[in-house]
Amino acid sequence: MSNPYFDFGAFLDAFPKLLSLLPYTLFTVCIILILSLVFAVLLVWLRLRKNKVVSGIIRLYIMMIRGIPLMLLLFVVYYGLPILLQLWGINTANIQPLPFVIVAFTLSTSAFEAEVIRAAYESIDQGQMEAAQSLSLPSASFFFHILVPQTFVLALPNLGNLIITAIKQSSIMYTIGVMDIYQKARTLSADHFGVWQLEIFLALMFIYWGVALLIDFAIAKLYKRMLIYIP
Amino acid sequence: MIEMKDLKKSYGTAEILKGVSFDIKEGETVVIIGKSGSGKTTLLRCLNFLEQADSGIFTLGDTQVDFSHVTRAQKNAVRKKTSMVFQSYNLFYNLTALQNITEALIHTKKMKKADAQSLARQLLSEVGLSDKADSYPKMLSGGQKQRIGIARAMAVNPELLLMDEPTSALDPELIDEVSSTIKKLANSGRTMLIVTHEMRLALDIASRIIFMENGSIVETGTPDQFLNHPQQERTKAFLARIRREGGL
Repeated sequence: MSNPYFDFGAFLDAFPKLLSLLPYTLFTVCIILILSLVFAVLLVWLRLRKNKVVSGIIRLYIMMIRGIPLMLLLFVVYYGLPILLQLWGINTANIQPLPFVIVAFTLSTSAFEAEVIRAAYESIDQGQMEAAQSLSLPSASFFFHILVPQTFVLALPNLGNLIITAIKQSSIMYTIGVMDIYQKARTLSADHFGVWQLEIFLALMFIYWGVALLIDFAIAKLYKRMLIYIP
Repeated sequence: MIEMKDLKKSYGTAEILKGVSFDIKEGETVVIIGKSGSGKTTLLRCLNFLEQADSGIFTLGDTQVDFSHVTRAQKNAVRKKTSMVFQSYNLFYNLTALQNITEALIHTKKMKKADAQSLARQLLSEVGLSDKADSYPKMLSGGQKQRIGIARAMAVNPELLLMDEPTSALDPELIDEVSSTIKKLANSGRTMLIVTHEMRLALDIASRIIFMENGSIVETGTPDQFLNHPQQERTKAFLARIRREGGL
């Protein structure tokens, strides 16, 4: 089984060690997804205001955030936010890196989600709005019983893509010293002086790939079941 | 008694409705017929405030509205006394047939859920769709969707039921099931204003036909008067064209 190019044993050994950090990565991404969704809904709500100034500012903000490489945004938040907070007299010296990761990722992910949700919202069949008007349906009922569920279904495939993107991108949090699954692979590799670097990172690749596949599958299945709710 | 006086509506410089007046007696089924672009759909939509008319006095029972200054309260009052059946059904896609009907009963009319459901089931049986209560619109044919749309509009028990081209989006073989549902409603004494360009449907269900062209009413009469003794040249030309095209 042994050959000079690829050590299969080391490849297999890497899995349990890496997988032990997978829950941490997934948990972090979950928090980011929940916070970003809330923030994205707020952005969409502001973006669709009739007030041109408000919607223009939000539009510009979303464009700006989407145009910044996430790694750069992470650095700006990590090094810039403490200075900003210090101006308000808040000492951030003892804060762990993770909260900065969550802030930066939430800012970025929410901007993309906002665009996805807005597109879904705007593609809802407008005739239903007229039906609601002609039946004098209260706008809250229409919003929560009809618009929200249909927006969710219409946005689901693209939100699934963003979930997978968020998991993959979470790998860059190692750059500010968070011990996630990617950083685990780096340290594992360093522990063995880089001898099994390829084996370890290939194992990591399979893990990311497996997670992406599972999520893809789950979203596709959910979407298929929910297709009945949209035209 | 329902009365519309001098309804006007323009988009920019294009005058769509040039002062349209008519009345509808209780229990009457009035059909507005005309080519597309005659303003008939806009007229209907103005009555339900889906479009804002420029001027005109609309009387609906004890509610009178001057379209040139409409208050929110008047708008709500009129909407509560009317309901609309749409050309493209406009059902709520994420709700079942039953829920499409109960939604307004529960949330607008504040009916108890159980009462709303039993009324909805009764209406579903009236339109012949008892077995489709739990189906989503996507699972239904066009004719079935339109019958649900009719049941939904009837549920709020409107003083005036408005229908905008109720059979125009349907495949020919599905038109009959919808037009017979409408005929049943007409016979049961509902007051209805129906817009269509389908002459057969109009002759079939109308107590009175209004013929419109270029934003004005050309002629009004019973189906028999209209078909067999038209007074106006434009009506005669319209009928001749329909006969040529095989619409009669």
